[in-house]
Amino acid sequence: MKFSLIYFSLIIQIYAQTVQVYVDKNFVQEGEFISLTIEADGANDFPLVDLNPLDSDFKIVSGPSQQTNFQWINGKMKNTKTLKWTLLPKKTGDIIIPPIVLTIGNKSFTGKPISINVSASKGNSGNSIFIKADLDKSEAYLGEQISLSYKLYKQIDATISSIEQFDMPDFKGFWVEEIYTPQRLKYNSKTETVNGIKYQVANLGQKALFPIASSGLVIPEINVTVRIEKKQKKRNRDPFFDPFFNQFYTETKTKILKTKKSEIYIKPFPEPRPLDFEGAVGKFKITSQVDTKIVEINNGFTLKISLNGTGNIGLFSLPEMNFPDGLEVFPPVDRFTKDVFRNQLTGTQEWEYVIIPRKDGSVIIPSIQMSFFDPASFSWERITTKPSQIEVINNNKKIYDNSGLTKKEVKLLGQDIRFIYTHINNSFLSKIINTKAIIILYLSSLIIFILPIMLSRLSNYNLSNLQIRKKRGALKNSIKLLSADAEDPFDIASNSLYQYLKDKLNLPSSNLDPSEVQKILVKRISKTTLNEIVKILKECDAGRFSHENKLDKTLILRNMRNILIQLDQELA
Amino acid sequence: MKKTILSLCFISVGFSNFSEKLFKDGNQAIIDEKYEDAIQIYESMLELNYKKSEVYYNLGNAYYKLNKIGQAIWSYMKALELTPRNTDLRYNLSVAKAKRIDRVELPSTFFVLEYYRKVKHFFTLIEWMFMGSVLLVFNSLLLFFYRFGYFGVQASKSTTPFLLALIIFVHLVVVDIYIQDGGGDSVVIIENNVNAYSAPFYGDKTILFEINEGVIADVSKEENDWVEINLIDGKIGWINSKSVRGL
Repeated sequence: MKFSLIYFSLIIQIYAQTVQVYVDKNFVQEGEFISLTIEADGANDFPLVDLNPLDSDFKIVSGPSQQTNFQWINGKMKNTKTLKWTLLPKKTGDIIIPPIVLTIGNKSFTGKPISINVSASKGNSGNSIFIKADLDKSEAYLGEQISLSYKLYKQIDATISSIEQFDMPDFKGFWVEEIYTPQRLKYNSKTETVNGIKYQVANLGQKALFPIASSGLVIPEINVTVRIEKKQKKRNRDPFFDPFFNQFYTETKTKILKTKKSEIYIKPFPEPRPLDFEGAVGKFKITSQVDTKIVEINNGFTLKISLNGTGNIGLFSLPEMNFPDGLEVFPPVDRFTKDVFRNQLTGTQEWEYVIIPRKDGSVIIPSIQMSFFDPASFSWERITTKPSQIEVINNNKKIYDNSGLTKKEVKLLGQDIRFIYTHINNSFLSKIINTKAIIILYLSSLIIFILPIMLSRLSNYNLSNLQIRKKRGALKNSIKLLSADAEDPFDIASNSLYQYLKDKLNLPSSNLDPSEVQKILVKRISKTTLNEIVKILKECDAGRFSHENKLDKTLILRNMRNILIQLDQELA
Repeated sequence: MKKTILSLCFISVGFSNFSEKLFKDGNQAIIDEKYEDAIQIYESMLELNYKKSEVYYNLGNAYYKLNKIGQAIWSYMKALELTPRNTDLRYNLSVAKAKRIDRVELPSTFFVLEYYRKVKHFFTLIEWMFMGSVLLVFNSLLLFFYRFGYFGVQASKSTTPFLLALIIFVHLVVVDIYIQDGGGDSVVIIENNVNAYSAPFYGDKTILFEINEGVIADVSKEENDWVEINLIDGKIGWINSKSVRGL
């Protein structure tokens, strides 16, 4: 057994290796497949092939499939390895399959270039089967519905054995709503005639597209792979292959069907846009409803707002609601039900607010207003709800204001600015306080400050000294003292003189006596006056201690007065 | 001479009547919820130099109702300059400030400074000056009488230093307010999503930050249609002068 195996391999080594590269056809229509075959005779391994050069022009649909053949010819074994690919040309026109380089074992081979002519399909109509992306409009407003349906056209005598599941493309820049998706291939009862040929039409799916970007909108192409039953051409009358059996033996052909790309142009909205336009396009109605008219305080009620219509429902928001104070409003529950009506997206969107009144009295739920654009009539339209009034009753008159709410929330509930002023307040103070008054005040303070200095300059008096002031008033004071009614006139007379001298000459308040006075005054006044002063002082002293000279009391006062005046004149 | 004074009086009386009529029209517009009309009326009153706190206040309310928070804050700030002790005004300003998008918070400072700031903003510049002048007159009167010896030395010795300190304080406050109001111009941002650039043009731009209406900023430089703003938190950037309103 071992021996025979070695023998086998020896033969293979000896046998010459030949490689063939070929395709099944050189002329194809767009969308038809080509099979590329590499056949290596006498190889004991599958060749290693680099198909990268093909990438630019072809799409590899399937492969490689491997096949090994053994043949015994004249006692010699022929070993053939075959690789097969299915290719789909990406372009039309003449395409060349470049020389393919392959290696078997250590040897490398190079194939010949193969030219292929791909003819463009003459429109869809020429084919027995084609698909089409049907758009109801090529230009639309932002948010306006565009209906897209993929249709399969089939000539009546063609039969499709199967259709592969295909992926819907990403519609970039669109919001997509599904309108119809078939469960299986189903032809419409009506046929359509294209270029004089009757076609059966099947709907492969229908979408409602709402543009949300304003430029660069493209409906991408799709590829659908179908298998078509090939019609059996004339067969020989054969007892074994009678036409009766043909129906059991059908050949199928795979074909890729393509749609064309198409662009969508976005029309601008007519100006001016309403302020409360939030992007709604279509035709809508809005209603609001409260479930009760009378509600107890702190018991909830519901406000239901429903928007009903055709258009880009669900793509726009409701204008913000301004609820009055004293209501606690919970975020709404949003419900959306859609139904497809005549290929238009129709539906109802509902918002349900739960509202709890925290204050009694009547509350008005305000109306909601929104604008939408009606593409059918090219106009803006506005819809509003009716405001509804609700009576909030308070059965047990307790203050529930804060129940369930923190202090901060209560504060926020009632936060609004205070009302305007209706009168301009011209207060007395504001009239007085102005720049003029201030300037006057500053100036007057300056004047008051400077005035004493000016006065003293003018009158040459040094007013700032209290002692000088005393000096000036010395005579006056002492005369006043004289005129005071007292028991002892001598005492008064002498005191008034001493006081005068103290004030006038700024003496310390030590006791004065006649000899002292004489010392002080000797250089300041004339001798006669001095003598008189000494004399009268002595008289006073004598009078004070003896009780006989009481009669002279008026005389001594008058004398003293004269002396004081005389003294003052001389001292000045 | 007499004639001219008389005619001047007449003009002023006529003017004030006209302004009062405008003011009433504006108020009626607010009651009728025609806020745009009210704004127009009040703004024209301000252009006619009828700058009363009440006009600014009502203007602020009208802007607030139209949700123009930046303009509302501007108006309230202007009113506050005239009547700093108005509680309604302070309340409305706080409500408007709470509605701002950006919260540029003043960093909290030493509490003495806080008190000082409160005291400073309790009176207007004119009121402070008036106070200062009254105190000065009082002080000079005191000195005057002291010189003529009507007060004892003791009394003047104890009051004068205190009075002098008070006068100096009041005048320092006056200088402070004057520098603050007149030195760097303050502005309020009145538009949303304002981009602050690193240079005063749109060309080779670097957007430093985005700012929304209602923020109060100081202007440090001006260049054509551009102003350089300083935010309280230290950010600096150039923005178009259309999006600010000077205080």
